[in-house]
Amino acid sequence: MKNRLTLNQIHLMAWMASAVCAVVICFFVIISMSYSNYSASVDSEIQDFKEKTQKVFRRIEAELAVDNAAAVPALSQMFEDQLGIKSIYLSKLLPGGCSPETECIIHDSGLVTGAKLIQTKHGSHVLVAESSLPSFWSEFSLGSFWWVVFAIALLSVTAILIQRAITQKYVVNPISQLVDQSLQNKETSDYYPLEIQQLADDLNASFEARDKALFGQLAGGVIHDLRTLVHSVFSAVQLVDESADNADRKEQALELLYQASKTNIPKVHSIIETTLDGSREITIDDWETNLVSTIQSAIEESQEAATKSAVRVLFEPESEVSFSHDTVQLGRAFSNLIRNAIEAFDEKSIKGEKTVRVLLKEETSLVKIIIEDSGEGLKETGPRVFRFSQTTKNHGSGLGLLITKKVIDAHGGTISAEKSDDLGGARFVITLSKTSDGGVA
Amino acid sequence: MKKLLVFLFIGISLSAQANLIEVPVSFQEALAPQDTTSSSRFQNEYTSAIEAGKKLVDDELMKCGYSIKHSTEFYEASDPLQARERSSKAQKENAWLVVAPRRSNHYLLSVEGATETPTVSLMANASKVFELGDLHLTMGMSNDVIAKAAFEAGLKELKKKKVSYLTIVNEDCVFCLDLAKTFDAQMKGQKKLGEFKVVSDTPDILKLKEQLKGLSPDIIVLPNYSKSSSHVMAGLKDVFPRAIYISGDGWGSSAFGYVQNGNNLAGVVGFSARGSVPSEDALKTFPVGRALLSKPTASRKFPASNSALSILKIVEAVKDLLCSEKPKTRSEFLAAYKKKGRSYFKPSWGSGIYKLQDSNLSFVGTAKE
Repeated sequence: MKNRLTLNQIHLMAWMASAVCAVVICFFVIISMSYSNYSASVDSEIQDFKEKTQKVFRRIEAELAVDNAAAVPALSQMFEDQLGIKSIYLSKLLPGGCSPETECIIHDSGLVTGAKLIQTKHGSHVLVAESSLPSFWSEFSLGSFWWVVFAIALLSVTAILIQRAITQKYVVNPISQLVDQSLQNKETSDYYPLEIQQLADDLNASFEARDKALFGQLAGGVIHDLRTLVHSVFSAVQLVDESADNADRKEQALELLYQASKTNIPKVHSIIETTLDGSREITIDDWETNLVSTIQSAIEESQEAATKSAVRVLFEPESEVSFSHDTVQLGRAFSNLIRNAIEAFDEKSIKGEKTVRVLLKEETSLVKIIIEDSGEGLKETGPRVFRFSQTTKNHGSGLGLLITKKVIDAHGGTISAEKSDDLGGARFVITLSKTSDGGVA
Repeated sequence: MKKLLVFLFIGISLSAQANLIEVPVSFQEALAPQDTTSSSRFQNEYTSAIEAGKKLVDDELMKCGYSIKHSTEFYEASDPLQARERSSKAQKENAWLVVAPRRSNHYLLSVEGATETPTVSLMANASKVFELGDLHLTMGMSNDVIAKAAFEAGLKELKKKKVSYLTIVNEDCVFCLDLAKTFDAQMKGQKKLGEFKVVSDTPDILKLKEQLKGLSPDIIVLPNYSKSSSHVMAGLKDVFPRAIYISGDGWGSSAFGYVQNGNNLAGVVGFSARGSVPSEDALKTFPVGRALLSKPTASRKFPASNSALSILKIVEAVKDLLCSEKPKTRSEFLAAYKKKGRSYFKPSWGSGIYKLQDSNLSFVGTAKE
């Protein structure tokens, strides 16, 4: 099983992502609000500066009007200290943007400047006052932001705990109960959320359908096969009964009974074992041997059916491949796949050449066995193919691919079902590890 | 019959009043600072001096065919430009006379705003004030007499003929700079240790102490207004415990200002010479003053301050000018003022010397011209 995230981890990730988004949004909101406050604060500072410069300019103009320009530096220093103005001085020119008619205030790049042209009978003077405006970042404080971050973190932790509990109660527990329910026929609980109740109903319906399918297939497939085999033995037994008066005929009947039993009882045994294999663990008895031989044996087993159906089975190994495996079980698996491919041609009236190809590819640590055909292909591909489901065949248990997969799994390998690009039909790819502990990632 | 006589009398009075020429006079003064107890007291006494003066001259004025219609305006002394703005406004409103602020720099601005209107200051006495011409007069005494009187009082107190002195002057005060120069002229021959400029009513004492380190003056010339002078004296008294402070009339009087009963001036000795003598002595020197003295209740209520005396004298001068020259229009008044104003609008009392001791300013004598 791949490394999967737990619900708790998903909750944590979701809330962390939400918390980060919330923090980022809050940060921008705080920046916007702070900038708005800063703008208002700057406007207020400029207004305050305007009032101060008015007072300063009037005072200095009074001295200039009585020809006391000598007092201007001292007065300027006094006002700079008292009113917190950066500098006050006499200039030769008005700053750009100022009109000689009125006192002007201009602000730019963190500096606010006031200027006035003062004309007295003793001469003209340009009076300038400057003050610094605070920058946004010098005024900006993250104080309240940290409280917001703290609140979001607290909220997230609380939410994670609550959501965890809610998910456990309303999702995980109900699903867990569904599993129990499927096994023990328990009722659903009243507090199931609507969606879970829906799932429970769908699951119950699928369980019923599956029960029907199982019974149907077993009845229709397995029991049918068993009946056919048992019937032929039974017929031979009846023949023996009828021949009780005639020794020669009885001997012939007994011989027939022996042959029928010899042929059919192992088949009955095989069907029973296969059916049982669908429900139990498959144990393998592996030993180092030639895989090519195992495949060839499987092909030989199917040769009669292939000939009968005019299907060409191709296998051209390049070399022997020796590795540890259970020849019986793996042979069964290969045989099942080859036989399925051949039988699929019988089900459909396929035009063109009927080919089943077996490929063996050896890599450094892996071995791949590819069984593909030129038939119509599978109705569906992927892992579902290997689950027990209603078979399309008129006979058989429908457990074949399931058991094939179990055999491959027992060898630590993988099997996949897909469409064959070369032949156009189904394609099964079996991957087996050549290492002693098996296991293909 | 009685009723008829009463109605006749009222009718005659009203008709007489209806023929009176209304003389609009604008009184304008700076208050520093405007919202203190001292300034509100000054304000009350200023207005009551006007009322008292008008009461005393109303009958005679009416007989001459005039009545004074006055307006009073006070403004913040830290905004001297208002002197110009208000006098300009008064000129636009066709005031015949502007009684302008007592501080020299305010008065100079007031004159600038009312160049075509007769003005008179209560006591401005910077040298520029005396150069303004016949239309713009002052009730103040010249600085030369004042400076000489204060200096001589200081010499007498020290019992010395040769002294060392330094000057601490408000650079933002035209009158103060002017008076400082006048003191230099009067104290020629004495050892001047330096002149140190300050600004505002509360100069930086620490900076001043640093500048004055190592000096040992006998006399400190402090030709500034009362708040600044009081602040400096309090700040330096421990540095120069034996120095004598001298000034003109910027220190205020026993009624007003920050030197009288000043904070932390115990031990400070100084002399202020000004263009006034004690109120009762001054009132005796002119008719309206004597008329006031003849009314005990009224004279008790009358404020004993230089400003009040000047206001009373100005009201009398207006009455005298109107009754003697009989101008019918504003321009006639202006012409009469220009021609004869100096003879009416001048103080009738001499200059007085006031000693500061134990935070008290007391009259010690009259200065010789």
